[in-house]
Amino acid sequence: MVSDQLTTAPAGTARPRRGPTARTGPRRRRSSLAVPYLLLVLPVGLVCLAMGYPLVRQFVMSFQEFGLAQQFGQPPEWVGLQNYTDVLSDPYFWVVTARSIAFCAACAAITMGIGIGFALLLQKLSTGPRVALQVALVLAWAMPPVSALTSYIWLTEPRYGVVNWFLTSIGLEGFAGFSWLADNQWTFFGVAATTVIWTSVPLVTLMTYAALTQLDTEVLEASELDGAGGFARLRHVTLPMIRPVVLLVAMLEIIWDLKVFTQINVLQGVAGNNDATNLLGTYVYQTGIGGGEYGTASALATVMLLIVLLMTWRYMRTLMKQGDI
Amino acid sequence: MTLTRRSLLAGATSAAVLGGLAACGNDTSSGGSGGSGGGGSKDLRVWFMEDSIPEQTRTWLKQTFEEQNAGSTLTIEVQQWDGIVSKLQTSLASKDSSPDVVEFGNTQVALFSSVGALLDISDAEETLGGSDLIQSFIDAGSWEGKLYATPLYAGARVYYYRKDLFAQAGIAVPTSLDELVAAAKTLHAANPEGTPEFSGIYMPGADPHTNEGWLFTHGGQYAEQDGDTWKGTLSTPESQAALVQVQDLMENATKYALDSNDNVQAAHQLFNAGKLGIYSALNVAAAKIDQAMWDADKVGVLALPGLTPGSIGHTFSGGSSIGISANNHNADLSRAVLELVYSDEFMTDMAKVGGWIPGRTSFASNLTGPTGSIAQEIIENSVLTPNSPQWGVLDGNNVPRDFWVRLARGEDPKTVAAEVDKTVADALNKG
Repeated sequence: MVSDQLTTAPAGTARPRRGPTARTGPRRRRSSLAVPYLLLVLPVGLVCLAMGYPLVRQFVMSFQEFGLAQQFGQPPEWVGLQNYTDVLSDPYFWVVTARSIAFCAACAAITMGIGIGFALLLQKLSTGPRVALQVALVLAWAMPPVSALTSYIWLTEPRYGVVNWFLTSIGLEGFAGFSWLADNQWTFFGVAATTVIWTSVPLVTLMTYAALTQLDTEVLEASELDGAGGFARLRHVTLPMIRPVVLLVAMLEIIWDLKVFTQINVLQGVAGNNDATNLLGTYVYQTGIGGGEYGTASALATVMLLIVLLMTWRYMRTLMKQGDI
Repeated sequence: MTLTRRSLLAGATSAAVLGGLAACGNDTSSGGSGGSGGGGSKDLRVWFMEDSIPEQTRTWLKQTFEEQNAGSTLTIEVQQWDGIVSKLQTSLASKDSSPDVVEFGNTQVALFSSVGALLDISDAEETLGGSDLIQSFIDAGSWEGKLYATPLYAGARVYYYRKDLFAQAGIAVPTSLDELVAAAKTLHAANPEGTPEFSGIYMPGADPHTNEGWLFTHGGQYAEQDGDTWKGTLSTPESQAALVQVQDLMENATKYALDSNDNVQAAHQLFNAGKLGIYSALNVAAAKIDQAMWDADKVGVLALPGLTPGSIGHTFSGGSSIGISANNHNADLSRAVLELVYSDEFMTDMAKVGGWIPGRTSFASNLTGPTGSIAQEIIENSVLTPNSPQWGVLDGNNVPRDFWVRLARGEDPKTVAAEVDKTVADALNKG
């Protein structure tokens, strides 16, 4: 693949120098059509290699009885749709799915709200505070999830955590020694959502802000002259103009939040109630890597993939239409 | 101008979606093809668990092995307990990255011996210690009549208590389980020294093996095998009596019922800070308790008492086994490592330096310190969790821990037990 590119690229750039003749005309058009496709070969090839193999393997395994014994060398047995019926007929699967969708919807909506709010704020700020906020956002984004989670675990630690210290010092005595992660699933998901939102707000903010800086100021001025107030300008002019970016980011958020794994898994390690706190990501892990039932886990992962596709299908179509494809 | 930006955006979208979706793929490593290993590599890797083999013993093993087998090297890697089952599932299955000799938790080993992850070492049993080896661990390391893992060491679960606080509150040293419960509750309410955050006993849900002492002493269990099928037994009257008592302690004798895993590991700090009256831990934890407290004769040690006064209870028998990976890189050298582990020097060290009951029990006489005299008796009365490969899976997925945490949160023992009985039976009967 690499050599393909190396040999084509110089040829493509060399040709125009020959000058326009009757013969090279059509050939040039043909090669200029081929170049973009050749350029695509490398990235597509890499994606196929890195993502395709596990995906195909997962699909194949989802039709097999594949447990630990198979992992250690015994031949797997084909079981048709058995894994899928097992997964879909398990009421717990539906509990986890509903929980994941609710968690994803809440996190994505809050992330988008805060992110767009920050972007609008960045637009209004003077240089100093704007750079400070941007740096803070990039730092939050760049921090590895596990280190960020460690900080959150310390913050909410029942005995020494600063959260409980603060709440008790303002008079809420009930929070003395309160275990945010272990006491019940609502506070658990509260902490989990905070960590998820915290890491994803920066991307939303920075992308939205980038889109805002590209806005045509003349249109905004014109609407101002027409008498549109600040909120009306935001609603009827600014937001519609940055809609493609907002939709794209929203879709990414949905995909990420639906398959969130690290945050939940690490927090579960502290909390001690996996059943009540599993989301799809950790459920697949618990079934596959934890339980050694790779076949069932593969079926589960495939179903999860379909759910993600279903949930994002409408957004993708909207985006495609806007992109004139 | 706008058109270009839009198509760029669309391009970026499809790339992002592809990336996002494909990342959902579940990347389990592909299965190795098993086999007996026995290649020619002279560089061996041994995995020991954290806090198990004393550092000087590890150094001795490495040096002695390399002296006796010129040209070979031995790399010892220390693994964390947390998440070890999943790690072993993937690493042992890989021909390239499998360690050669591996330490396992004694409840986890059946999972690996039953699927062919370990080398059959039946012929080496006599060389390694024969009848001197801890029998219940031999059972746990055997599968269908063949031996795959041998006992490395066992730890005795003892109770450290504050003699001085007991005296100040006028409480006698408990001789039965009921008396222990009463003592913990009385001490919790009395808090003789007025220490903030004081608890009569340390009883967190996240420490299943402490709580199992109550379960086993009352005659309960997680599950029992009837013929070929397993049945969850947390709902039996014996188990229920234990669960009610444990929950009573969690609610009325401790402030630390919802402590996290990490806090459980560091609980000796609470004891050292004077915040605990009674603290359950392994006999080797004696070294973590402030020497000043020992010197001032403030600390006593007792075995978990039984139901009747003067009897001894049944605690979980914690410990490790050791085996050779089926995907080892040199079977002969791996066996040589195992023989060194069962040598007199190594086994003596395990007791003397490590404070463990060594796999060859005759070396337990080297145990010293405050727990030395009762450790052996506790081990002899100890009980194992259900010996089934699937129990390793349940354990790896934290089912026992989550069960006790639910009790710690105040959920009804009957309801929780009924649910967990079903989960346990479903999982064990899959095997």
